[in-house]
Amino acid sequence: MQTEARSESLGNPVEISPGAGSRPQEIILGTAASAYDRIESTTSALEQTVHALPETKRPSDAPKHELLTSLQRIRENTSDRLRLVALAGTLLAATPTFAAETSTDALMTDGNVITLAEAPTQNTSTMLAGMGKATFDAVVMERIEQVKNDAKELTTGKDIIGGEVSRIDPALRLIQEVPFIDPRISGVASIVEEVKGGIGNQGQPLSVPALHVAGILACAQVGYAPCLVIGFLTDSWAEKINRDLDQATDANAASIINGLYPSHTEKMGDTTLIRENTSWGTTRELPVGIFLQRESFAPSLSESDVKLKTYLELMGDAVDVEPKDAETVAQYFYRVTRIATKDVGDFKPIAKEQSATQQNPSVQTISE
Amino acid sequence: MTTDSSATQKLTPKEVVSLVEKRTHEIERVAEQELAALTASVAEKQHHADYARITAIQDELLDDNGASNENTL
Repeated sequence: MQTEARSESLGNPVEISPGAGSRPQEIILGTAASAYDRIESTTSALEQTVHALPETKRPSDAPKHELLTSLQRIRENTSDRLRLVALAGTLLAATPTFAAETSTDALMTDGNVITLAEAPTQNTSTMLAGMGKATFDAVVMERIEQVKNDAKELTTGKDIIGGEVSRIDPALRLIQEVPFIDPRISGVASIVEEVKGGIGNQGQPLSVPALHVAGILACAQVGYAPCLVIGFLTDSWAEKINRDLDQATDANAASIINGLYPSHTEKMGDTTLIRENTSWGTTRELPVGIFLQRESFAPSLSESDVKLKTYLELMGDAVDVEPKDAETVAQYFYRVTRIATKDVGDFKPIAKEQSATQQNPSVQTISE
Repeated sequence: MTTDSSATQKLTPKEVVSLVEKRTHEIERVAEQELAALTASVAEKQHHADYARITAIQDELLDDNGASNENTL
């Protein structure tokens, strides 16, 4: 029997097949959607009751607006947490080896990262307090080393992705079906400011979109994507990110990105993926929207620019991005990516003999 | 970090589903607890509102009754 998960916060309608033959990703989405619907049902009923209550003059009574605020907080926190667990789960189920590292962290009860994954709207410093900066830094470095080791395996011919490549595609699609954009964010600028301010200032909470941007950043930083990375945030990194963001120029970013990521696009269903060809001779699909060619974020967004369009549609669900804002969005991610890729240094084996235009003439070289 | 990456990479899709279900139920349980606490507050407020309304009606009835008795007297 086909059912449709239609919770607003969980995104566009997703076909769920709860039968025995269901794929794990579908079961996960169904589980999250059902849980959300149950909580939403209770919350809505309670909300109606509160609305119907008269205001009383007793000092001990909570004012109605406080009750409604509490209800909204429960609704949003639950939605955020369910969404992230669903996202981590779908990624992990679809790409068990590729995304295991961080996605599992996001699900494991004994992992510190789970705190970030589960409560993205809470105070970051509180989340990290239990671990301590030194420990957290060590964990991050350990993870980077792991990725480097994986990369070495690739260079020796052992393809850690192996047969999983084909399974990345449904995972990417599922990511798009599970929006991670917090509807409370009212504009692109606020996301940018939140990431810049939130990462750098531990007193600031990170919302879901900010966390997502940070996740993209971390993905790029370790040269590993698609991968759900949640929680790779440290003071030192944050300071560097903020500093570099302020100093970066589009020209520098363009040349660096163009050199590091000779890529071509490939249409897959209704999604255009950007393939990164590396000197390992293997191909990795990168999340849509991370690496953008200039043509893609021109103010006049063309219908063919599916990769950005898809991404903006995702963002547009919550932030109401107009095409004229596309460049703002794209440049931000562009610069973040540039900053991130700079950090990986010689880790990135790049096929410099290939350029974007050589591989696909339709992809314009980014001009300075 | 206590996650054993060598162990986590052995997770099968079925185990992932199980893990997600477990986490989802935990999230749901927390939300239900918070909603239950809020429901109690709402119920108390409802009770106070009902009490105030009943008291007001009683006062009104008493007033009416008093006026009626006055008329009788």
